[in-house]
Amino acid sequence: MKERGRVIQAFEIFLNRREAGAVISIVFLFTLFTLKNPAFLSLPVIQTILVNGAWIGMLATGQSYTLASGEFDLSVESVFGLAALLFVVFTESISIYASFLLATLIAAGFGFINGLLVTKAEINSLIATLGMLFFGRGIIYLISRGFIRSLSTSTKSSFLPQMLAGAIGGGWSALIIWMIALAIVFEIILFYTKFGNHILAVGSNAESSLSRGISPGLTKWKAFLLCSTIAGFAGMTAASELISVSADLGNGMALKSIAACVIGGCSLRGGRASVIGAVLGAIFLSSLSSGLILMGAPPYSFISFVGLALIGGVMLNKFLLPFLRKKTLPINQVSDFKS
Amino acid sequence: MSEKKNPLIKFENIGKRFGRIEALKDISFSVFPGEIVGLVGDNGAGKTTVVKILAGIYKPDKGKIYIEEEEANITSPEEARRAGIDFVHQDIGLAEDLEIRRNIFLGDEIVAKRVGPIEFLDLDKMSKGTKTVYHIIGITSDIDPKTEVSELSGGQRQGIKIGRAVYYKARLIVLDEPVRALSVRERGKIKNLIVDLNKKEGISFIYITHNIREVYDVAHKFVLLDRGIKIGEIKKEETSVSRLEESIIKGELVSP
Repeated sequence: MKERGRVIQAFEIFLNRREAGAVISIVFLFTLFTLKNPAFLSLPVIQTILVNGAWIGMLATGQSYTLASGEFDLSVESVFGLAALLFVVFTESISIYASFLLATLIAAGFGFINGLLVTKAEINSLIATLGMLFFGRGIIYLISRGFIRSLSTSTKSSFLPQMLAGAIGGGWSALIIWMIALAIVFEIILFYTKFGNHILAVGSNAESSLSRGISPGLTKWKAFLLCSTIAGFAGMTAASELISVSADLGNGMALKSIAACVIGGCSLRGGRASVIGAVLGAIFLSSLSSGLILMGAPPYSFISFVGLALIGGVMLNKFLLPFLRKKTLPINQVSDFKS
Repeated sequence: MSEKKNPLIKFENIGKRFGRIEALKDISFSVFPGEIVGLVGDNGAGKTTVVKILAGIYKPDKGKIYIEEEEANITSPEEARRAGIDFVHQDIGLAEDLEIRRNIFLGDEIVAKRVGPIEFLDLDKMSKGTKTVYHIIGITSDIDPKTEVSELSGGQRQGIKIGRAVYYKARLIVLDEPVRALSVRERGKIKNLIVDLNKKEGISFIYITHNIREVYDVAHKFVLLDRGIKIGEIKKEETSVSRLEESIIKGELVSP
């Protein structure tokens, strides 16, 4: 009896987590695909899913900050592609570490401009970051002229690319480690530091935050800066993994990163977010594509399922979870002041 | 009661224009320690402009503000807070999606340790501080400090804001339409809280409203504004609800 109570209690705590929707969705998918094909539930498949989800996961990590602050950043996919390309191109003339640093700075520059446009020029973040998305992609075409650029043989086996995306044995890739590490670090920063508290507060109610001496503009600016920098880092892990960078690398990733965040429990209105949830959302999307491939679905139909999964995930967060929470939790007996 | 002391805050000939509109004209009044002043007037009387000048959001075109006889030059709500003046508005002040404890310490978070530029929160101490705030406002039951503000009633939110101001050692709390959106029962509770804090802690209040009946029980003194002009200042003993209402309607102080 007592044991059962503890299980229910654990379940209640779980349901109250913002990530609950993403976890339930992943478990649901895995059950479904494993029933269809028992080979789905195996380490190599899981590792593939994690590797394939890593870039969206990293982008979602940064995106969860802009969402938490009440904005969003569509330019991440261009920053991702541009940083990847620049990293490769720079290594042709300067050292790989200098290339890494320079590409990171340029990625951060995008965040700086996004923040400037949104907080100083007060341009809606949809417009500002869409503009930067196009601008960034244009720069990519300008630099690459549409051709694929590749890391040289000596560069690709050097330390930094290996650290960013190399194999670390047992079928595990450094990409997975980076995704998980970033998720944990930024989850901790969001919920256990002053800066994170300000990000959430500004996203929840900018005017109230201002009345407590927090600058909404500056805080959002930092979120943009962080988001772009992470996107740039993710791009460089992509260059290291893929070796060859095409001009369309990153296309379509921005909306997927937002989808991952939303499935993971981030609110589009700001103030509510989960970095871990966002990454789980990315893993969910990746599981979906792997599962569909394994089931022999037409490859190009994947995006339709992403769409359905997004809507399903949001409905889960919006309707099913609150319903379940009400069922299992005692009605919040918040009582009044003494009269 | 407290007239012998020096005023806690004194407005002297405050004037403010917005283009052609004269929002405030030569407004002077004082709040003494331990006094509750009802700042009353119809819509457009200039009540909110007074608050915003005190909070440093607007700069007055003329006039001076003195805090304990010293000329004050307040340029932001934080500065006002440091000078012991806090503000409770109807709609702003709390981030609804955040836990109560994160709201109490919003902008003044308790830091456990620093690692480079990263300041880690001391959430336990923030929970304890939140319970102190509960104690100040007399919340009897145990609301988990981790509860989101969005789960609280309007009255509880106002109570939290007032309690937070007291926690940060405010000597004067400016209440801008503090009970406008509250239920009848919660209005009563907030008013009791104000009277309690005034009696026990000696905190002064400026209570801003357009509703005389709302502030009549609480205030010691009324300052009446009409279209930017102070039409009168009167102690509670020298007037009544109906006379005050008549004054607001006529735009001039109706004397007994």
